[in-house]
Amino acid sequence: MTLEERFFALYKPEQNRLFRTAWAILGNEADAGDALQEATIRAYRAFHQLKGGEVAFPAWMRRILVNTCTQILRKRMKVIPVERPEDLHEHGSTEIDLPMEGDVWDAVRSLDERYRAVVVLRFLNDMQLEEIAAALDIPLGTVKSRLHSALKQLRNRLHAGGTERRGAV
Amino acid sequence: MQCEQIQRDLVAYQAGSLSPQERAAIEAHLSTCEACAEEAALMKETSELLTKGLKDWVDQGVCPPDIAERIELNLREASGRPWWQRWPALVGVVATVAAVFLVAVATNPDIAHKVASVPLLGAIAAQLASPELDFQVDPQKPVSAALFKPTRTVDLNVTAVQEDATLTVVRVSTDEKLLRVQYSVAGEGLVLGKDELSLIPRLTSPDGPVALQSYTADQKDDEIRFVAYFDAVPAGASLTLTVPSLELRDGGTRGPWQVAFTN
Repeated sequence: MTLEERFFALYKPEQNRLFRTAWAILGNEADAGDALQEATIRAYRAFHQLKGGEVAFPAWMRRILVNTCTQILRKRMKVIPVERPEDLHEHGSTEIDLPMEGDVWDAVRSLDERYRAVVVLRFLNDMQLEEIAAALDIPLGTVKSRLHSALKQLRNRLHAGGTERRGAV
Repeated sequence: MQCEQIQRDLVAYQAGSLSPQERAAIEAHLSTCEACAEEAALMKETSELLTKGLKDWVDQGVCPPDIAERIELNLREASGRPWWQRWPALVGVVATVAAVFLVAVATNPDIAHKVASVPLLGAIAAQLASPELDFQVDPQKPVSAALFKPTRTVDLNVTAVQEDATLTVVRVSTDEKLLRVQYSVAGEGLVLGKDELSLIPRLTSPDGPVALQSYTADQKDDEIRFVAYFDAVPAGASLTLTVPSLELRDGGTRGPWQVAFTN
């Protein structure tokens, strides 16, 4: 089996999950496709550096993909204005328009990009807050405040926001 | 500590990102403050819901077939595996064809252009005669001789001279979608350089500029040969080609050139 075939045999079973991981981080399918394409090339070129054998491939590949996605996000966020203090609080008017029930992804994708990114990196990719700060090139305090704010918004959207709603989850 | 500050730190607390002292302070507060303890429980519940929900969503994912196909193709191209390893059966045929083409293509540009229009052989010839510069306006949809099937060709040999350097428009061909202009610049000491953007030709018709799709350039001694693909224009149109300046080996430049012709 050639190197290319070995790589593809390991990559292919992960492809669907990787695509959705990129989609979750970047917020749309087109960018996710581009990021996954770039990440596969990066991974293939570094394939000889993979340590831990085939069993380590999924986590290694996902790390490369997440790095690729956060690089894209960093560039993208440079053109998004710095958040204003009021952005750190719940967007009460927005929440009125949101469905009271719905699945988790629907709730997460409806967040502003800055909030969605930290939520996905934290809860889907299990990244530490310090890692998220470094990956997105933002202060640790900003990661904390965005997560805090995002969780408050999501709590209501997911019906986990109060004892009277908890039964509906 | 104030409740507001405690609640703001709950995310970091639950992520295990606090120092032992900060952690102890929060735990002490939570043991005495019912409101913050309730908030912490809700945060934890939301976090767990998010983790499970997002991971389930990812596990149920399907990569769209067009993206999967693009990735596979891209990977094969990037693998750099030589074509003779991918299609070993072609080795004999290709080796023979290559030997003949290599001589023909290297010595005669007309043969190179004609061969380049032939399916399969065109691709092989293009590989053998890989140009020194290859500029594509849209790299995702490269335009090359292999895709070009001319239905009309006009031999021109019109020239424009700047000092001792001569631009010659050799031939213009048209297919349904593209117009190909083959031209060369000859002059002592001319060098091609590496900057694709500085050599982009401009073509204008009576209706305005004609969009460039790609161009290639190759140097042979003191002659630089170009093949440019533009959007198709109707037969018989009056066209003007402008070719940017070229550098000289010993410094200085020649050009730009401008020449008018009818396709």
